[in-house]
Amino acid sequence: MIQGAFAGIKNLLIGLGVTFKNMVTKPVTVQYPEVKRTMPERYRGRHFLNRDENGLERCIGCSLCSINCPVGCIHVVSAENDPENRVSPGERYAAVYEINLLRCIYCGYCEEACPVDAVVLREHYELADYDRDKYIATKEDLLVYPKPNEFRVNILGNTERVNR
Amino acid sequence: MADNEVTLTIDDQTITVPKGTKVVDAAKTVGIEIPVFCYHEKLGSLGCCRMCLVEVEKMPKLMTACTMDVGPDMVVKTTTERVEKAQKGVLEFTLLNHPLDCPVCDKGGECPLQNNTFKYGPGDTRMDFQRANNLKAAPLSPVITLDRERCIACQRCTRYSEVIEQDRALVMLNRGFHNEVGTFNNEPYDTRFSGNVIDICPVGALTNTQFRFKARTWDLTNSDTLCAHCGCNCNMTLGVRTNKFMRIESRPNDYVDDGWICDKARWGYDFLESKNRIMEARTTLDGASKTLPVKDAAAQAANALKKIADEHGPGSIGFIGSPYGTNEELYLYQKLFRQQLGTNNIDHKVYAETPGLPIPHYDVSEIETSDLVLVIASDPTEELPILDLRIKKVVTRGNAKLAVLNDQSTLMDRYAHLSLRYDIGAAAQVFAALANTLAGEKGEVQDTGITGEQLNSLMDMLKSSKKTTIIYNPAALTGQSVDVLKHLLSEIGKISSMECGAIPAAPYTNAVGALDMGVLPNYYPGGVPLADAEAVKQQSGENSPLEAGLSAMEMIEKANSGELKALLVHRANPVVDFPGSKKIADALKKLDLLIVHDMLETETSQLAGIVLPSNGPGHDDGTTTNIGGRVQFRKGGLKTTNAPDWKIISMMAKTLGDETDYITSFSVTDEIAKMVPGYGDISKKSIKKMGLARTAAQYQNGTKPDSAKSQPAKSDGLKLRIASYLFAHDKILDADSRLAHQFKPSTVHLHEDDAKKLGLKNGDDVIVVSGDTQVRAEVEISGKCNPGGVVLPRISDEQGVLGLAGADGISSVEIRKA
Amino acid sequence: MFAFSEQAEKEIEKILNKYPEKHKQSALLPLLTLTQRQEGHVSPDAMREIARRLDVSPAYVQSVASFYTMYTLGDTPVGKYTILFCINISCQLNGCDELLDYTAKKLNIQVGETTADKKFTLRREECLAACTGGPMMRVNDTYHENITPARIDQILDSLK
Repeated sequence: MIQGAFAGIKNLLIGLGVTFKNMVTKPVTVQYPEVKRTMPERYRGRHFLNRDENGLERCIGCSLCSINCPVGCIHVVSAENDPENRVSPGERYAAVYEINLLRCIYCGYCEEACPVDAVVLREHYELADYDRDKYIATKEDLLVYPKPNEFRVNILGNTERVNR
Repeated sequence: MADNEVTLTIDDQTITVPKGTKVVDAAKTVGIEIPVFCYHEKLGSLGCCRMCLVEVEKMPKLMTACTMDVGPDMVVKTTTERVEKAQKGVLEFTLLNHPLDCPVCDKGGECPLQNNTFKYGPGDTRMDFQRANNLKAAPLSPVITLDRERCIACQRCTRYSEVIEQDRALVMLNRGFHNEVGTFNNEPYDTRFSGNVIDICPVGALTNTQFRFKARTWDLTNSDTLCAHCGCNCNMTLGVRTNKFMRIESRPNDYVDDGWICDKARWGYDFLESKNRIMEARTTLDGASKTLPVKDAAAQAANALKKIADEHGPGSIGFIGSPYGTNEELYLYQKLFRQQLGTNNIDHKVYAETPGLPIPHYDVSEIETSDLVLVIASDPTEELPILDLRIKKVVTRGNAKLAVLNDQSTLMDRYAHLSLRYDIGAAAQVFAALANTLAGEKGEVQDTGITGEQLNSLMDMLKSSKKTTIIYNPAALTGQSVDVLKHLLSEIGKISSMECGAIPAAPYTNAVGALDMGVLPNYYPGGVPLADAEAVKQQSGENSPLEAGLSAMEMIEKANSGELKALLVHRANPVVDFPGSKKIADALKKLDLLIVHDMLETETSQLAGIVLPSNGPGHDDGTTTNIGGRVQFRKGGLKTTNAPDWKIISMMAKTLGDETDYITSFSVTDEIAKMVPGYGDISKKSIKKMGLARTAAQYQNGTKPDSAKSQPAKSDGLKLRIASYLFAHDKILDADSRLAHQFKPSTVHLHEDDAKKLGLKNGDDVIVVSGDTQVRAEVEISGKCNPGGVVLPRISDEQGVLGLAGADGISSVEIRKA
Repeated sequence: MFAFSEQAEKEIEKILNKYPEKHKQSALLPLLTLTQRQEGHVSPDAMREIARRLDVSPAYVQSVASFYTMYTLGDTPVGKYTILFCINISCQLNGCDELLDYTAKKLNIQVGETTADKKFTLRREECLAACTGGPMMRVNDTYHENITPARIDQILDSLK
């Protein structure tokens, strides 16, 4: 019986050992949303459209992202550049570029298909919103590379997003 | 094995093909693909791209499969190491200066160069020097963009211009190292068929300016449809994205178009998005114009017609259809007016043509096997461009001869072995003379502008031929001459040594269908004449009206005198398109009720009490019958919330007690197959791919026309011939049209003698006068017609040439200096 | 407007007689040559006229004419004397490049240009089929073989 008690205490100490060890080590979890995790560089979060060094849109409206998209959530309508007032280098640009973020499965095939490195998936992952319409990301939304989202606790005690 | 067949082996498959087949085509028959760029089955061999190299046993070097005829016991290998190496080499070479802009190229996705490179090409290039830079996106014409960088100099387009169009407008300039496609002195390449070079270009060098960067090819929803502009009914593909019209491409059908379409087919569809479209039903019956739902408007229209028919008798209402409507629309309308409203006042035309031919009705493809093509009063170049290409093809590349019998000179004359030009207005006399000569009697050709010798040489040509195709344009034959022509056809048909057939080439989309559907005052569907009461009753029921109806021009006359109270006009614009123009508008204003069912606002729709919207080609499904009697399905491509025409007509019929339910347009087609003689085999399935030739209606009027009547009326003025142009500035091709560069100025063609008498010279501004109508035009002294006549092409709606014509199309005009 | 001279008209008649009526197109090169001789260049107007006479399209005339270097397309005539230097391999090995530079400097023009007095036009040419006598220079229809700077001076001076 005594032997059994010792064995029990030993096992208890082994178990508590794990607990105590973890009490002094840095936790893996973070205090989300007060604390934000830095995502790995190749994390596939929200899409953005890049600009080139001259500030022109990189996107040439070739629709290769759209045809490569396994769920068909990208809609591109292209148009011809006006040489006087160009939107992108070259002949062609995307007049409409829309991604349905609700339908998107964040597979990153669009990024892979893009011949001019225009569309990229970045580390932005906090995409919750109250309105479905807002999930149609238009070209204007996609061309802005925002700071990671900021949150605050409102008077009801709920966490809400400060910027969109 | 027949003498003219050859058996050979390609990649271990033994095949037998006709002698003279190229190895490329022979391989295609067993599903072996040999890649090509410069070869095109309609253009023939050239062998300049070297893509089709294959190995042939016992030949030391690789051979080009596109230039090599099949030989007996030939052993061809298309997948050996040597061949693959050669293909890689050729592609690497072809791509040396080809830009890698596939993502922005409009050809991307349907590009033979892209496809062949993926399939046969090297993965990489070994060259690391700079590509040659050249001009990008230069307009070759207002509708075609040329990207010189992408051109691989396969010469398909220049050969198309030389072999198919035969005017060599597009050529290779600076032959040699700086070889490039171009036109004379950088002038625009703006022929009638220029658009086809876009389809045959194997790279993205020649692109459609309209489609430029609008969508990627794989994004398009393509519907296989027909062109709705002329009687050829060429097959084409309508590309649509997000319910917006994008582009039109050709869809080869050798029975109809031989793989080509004209520029009006390709760029004449801007009306689909025209602001001039009638989108809603409206009525002005209660005073001010107000819109109302289509269903209510249809019911109101039907009830109003019925009320007038009840009050004043069925003879007081009438229907003017259109040779542009589909068979379904035309059939339902004649059914509505005959069965529900009890009138035979039904017509679709202002010329005298009757259903049926005394000789077989030939399909357009029959021209290819004919050895004589006789063109009568028709100008295929201006009226039916694709027919023109077919005739040129057999005359210049086949063994056929071409004879032209016309009252105006046309571009066909250049290819004709015999070209006879009779005086304007003397058609009936000439046809009668030729018929009499053929019958062994004496043919009188006095005062017709042609001599007896000429007539005899035409007769000799006919008699020495084995197979003759006669192409005539009923719309250009005035008065009684169509009847005389049919008599002539029956005489020609009696020549025992040859087979012959005719193509009634009226330049309207569904002129043959309109005749077949019985949109005529004196014929029921399928050419059943009113006179044959038994047949009519058997076909259309006991209550079918049997008293002869009024023709379109008679209806207008009766409207003017007040006897006709109500008229329904479907897809027609009598105010501009009927002879008499202004008088027509006055007559229509006198009607108690004018209902217009049309697609675009016209001068006639402005006068209407009730306007019903018509969706028209591009939106509505339906079948049409082309000049060769081939029934094909014209699919809509764009979606619309408006009811299709056949449904609107069915709504009207239902208001008046008809109980037939039509679910789709094919429900109507099925009824046509049941009810219309000759259309029995027509069904959704049977016309699916290539269409199906219907059986022509029985020819009824077998009596010999009175030749005394066919004497042209003597008059003082110059006899007027109105030539019709497909590329005219009308409602379809409006001022914003992409084809505005094809519009011609108003020109009156005079003979030298008459010009001298009138003291006119080239370029003079004149007014052509007949009655109170005046048309401004510029003088061109040409040999276009014989002395005593003038040719005035109808180049626009505003020009108002039809105001000059008399009710039967015949008129004399006076020419005054402006 | 372009018109053939009277003498040229006679020539044309003779040329056209050589070919069957249906194959008038064969007379294209002789007619282009006549035009070049008469005008010193081949203008679009002239090409249109030739096309009309031979029943071909103007574009086809240009397509042929643009292949041959002896026809100067455009509206500017060449000088009285056209000096052509062969720059193909035999002549090149024998130093045609230096001779060409020398001539250009002497005439005070660039290669391809015409002197201000409209006397000389200097052009490069691919092989002129006189490889045995390279370097060579052609002045109008005369071949000068084995040329040296001194010979060039002599020839050009004799032309003045």
